[in-house]
Amino acid sequence: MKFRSDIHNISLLSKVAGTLSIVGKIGWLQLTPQTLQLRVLSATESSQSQLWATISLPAIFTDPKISSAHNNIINLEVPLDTLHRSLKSAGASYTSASIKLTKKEGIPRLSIVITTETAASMNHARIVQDIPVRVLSPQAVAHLTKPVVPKPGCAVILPALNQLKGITERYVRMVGVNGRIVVEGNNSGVLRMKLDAEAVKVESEWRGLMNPVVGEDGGMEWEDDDDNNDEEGNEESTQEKEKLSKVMVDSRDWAKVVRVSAAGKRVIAWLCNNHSLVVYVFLDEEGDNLATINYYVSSMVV
Amino acid sequence: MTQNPAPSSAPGPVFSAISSSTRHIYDLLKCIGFMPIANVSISADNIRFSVEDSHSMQANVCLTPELFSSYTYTPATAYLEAGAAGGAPPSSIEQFDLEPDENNVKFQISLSALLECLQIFGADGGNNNTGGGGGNNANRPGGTSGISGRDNIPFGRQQQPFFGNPNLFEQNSLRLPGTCRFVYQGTGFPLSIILEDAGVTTTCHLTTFVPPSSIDLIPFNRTTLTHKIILKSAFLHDALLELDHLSPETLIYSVSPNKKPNFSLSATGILSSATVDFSSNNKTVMETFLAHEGFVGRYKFGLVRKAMRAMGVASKVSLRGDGEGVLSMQYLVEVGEKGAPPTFIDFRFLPLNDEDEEYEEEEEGEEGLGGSGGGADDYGDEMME
Repeated sequence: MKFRSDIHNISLLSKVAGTLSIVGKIGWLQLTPQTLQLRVLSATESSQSQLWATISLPAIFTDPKISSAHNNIINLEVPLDTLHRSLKSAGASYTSASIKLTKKEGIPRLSIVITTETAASMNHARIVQDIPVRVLSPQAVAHLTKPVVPKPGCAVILPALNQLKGITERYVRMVGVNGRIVVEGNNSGVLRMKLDAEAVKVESEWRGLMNPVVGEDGGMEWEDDDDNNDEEGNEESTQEKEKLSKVMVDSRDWAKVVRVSAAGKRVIAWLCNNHSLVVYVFLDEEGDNLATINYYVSSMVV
Repeated sequence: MTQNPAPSSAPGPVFSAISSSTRHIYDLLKCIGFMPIANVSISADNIRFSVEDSHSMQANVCLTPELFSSYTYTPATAYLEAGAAGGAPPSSIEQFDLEPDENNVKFQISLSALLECLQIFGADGGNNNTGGGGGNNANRPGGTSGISGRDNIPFGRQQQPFFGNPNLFEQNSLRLPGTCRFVYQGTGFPLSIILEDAGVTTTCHLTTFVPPSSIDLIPFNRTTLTHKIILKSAFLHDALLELDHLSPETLIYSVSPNKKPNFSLSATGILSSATVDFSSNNKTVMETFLAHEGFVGRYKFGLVRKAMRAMGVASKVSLRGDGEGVLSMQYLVEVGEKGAPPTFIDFRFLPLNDEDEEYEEEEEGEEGLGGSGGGADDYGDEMME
């Protein structure tokens, strides 16, 4: 089992690790010859959520070498916080960075080497960070797949995330930690957030939002040009467009969704009525989908 | 329901007001945000929010029509008479008349929820740092991080009106597009706040509760007024901040007409005690000093401390005591445009039962009026009769 590579976009990798650590502490990292995938789970009494991040290798690595006895796929369990901190330490001043899978004192580690050069001294500094990891067998991860969700009743591009974040903070304070927030929307540009607390009922409504075309499968197919995913090909009737889809989520989960979304350049939310909320976060510029995050949150029964 | 029956025939809301800036309203209400529940009373003259703590302290904020771009109060026909009385526009003091008015619309709401709602307006995850939200100890200042940076003003320096200095506010006070509408339809309806801001409309329905049958106002007896002091609020704030370091239980508030110091505040902690004296001669400190007789009052420090946020935002404070030892503090807050009438925040404190007579003795035999004031500001002059 071998993995080594130079990292040319350490900030993207760092951002992904940081975003995942919002949701959980331990992540499953899967390396294939094409992609790096990270997954984290979060489960509480009332809700279940999971987050999948996929980065195509050329977006972060230069000349990666990945090999294993199992179709050159490597599965690791990694501490997300440590990974994030290690990558963040590179700052903006690094000249080169690399990552490799090693074994020290019998413990497998991801070893990240960052060299920096300060303009003043012209001295090179070399920072080596070893992150202890656990190697997972293909059997251990065989059952782990992205959740399958029904076709969402509403797909909507989330409004300005700073504003959404500010409003969400107030909502969380009003409903408290175990509070519930209802999110509903339709395919004619409406998105609403609602709370119903003892002393106050609050509803925020956005209108005129974009409703991207929904693909048939549970994954996200995003295409800017003519959609060829829409097998049905039918224009939704006005009545269908106005129909509201509703999910109810734990206030903390919603706050996490908004924080995770804030990492993106554009964010599409799927509302699967009474079933789940799926957020597709595109981390790179329009057009390229080299780095994406899918965040699934189950809805409580309304 | 012990309230008046809903005016079923009323053509529109009983109360409706529009503001293009919730910031001022938020900053004023935040001054009494140390309690979670407020009593609300609406009249043609103002919408008043009152809180009380431990039956020993009350605080009131009156939002006058000047704070809104439109302010409509349409009580049920039966009450029209009261609303239509008084032809001349009332003076600011009259607007701040706290005496109970049976005709006003009254209810209770969650003040902490209202404060959260007002922050949704212009909410921006980036620099929204107002926090707080009515936590009981939220406004206990800690050193220089106390109240909105007011502490940085050098002692004794001429202080600018608080609302005129943008540095004293959180940064997003300058970013306020959109509108905010208050609507109350009548008994049994919520108090609704509709915030329209940058593409999003937020509607908050604050549940209105029937207030206790009588909201006992701490009585302040003007006929037994012992003294009136008007000073820059910053000095009172600094004095209390100083004493607060002792973590005292009790504040001793002394006024003496003839003897120096004319006005002092003192407190005793576990290890030490401290006194802050104010000179009535120094006009930059004390604008008005009028005392008929000596006055010593002991108040729960923890309650007086709750007025510190108001001290931080106000430019002046009028301190008065009556024959029963009730202490009234009226904070003058300059809001909005230059020349706009100021807003007042009123605090009243009941004295602690004083077993200890020594302070009384000290003041014995002092009579007469030690006046050093007058002051150009007519705020509160009527209170001197």
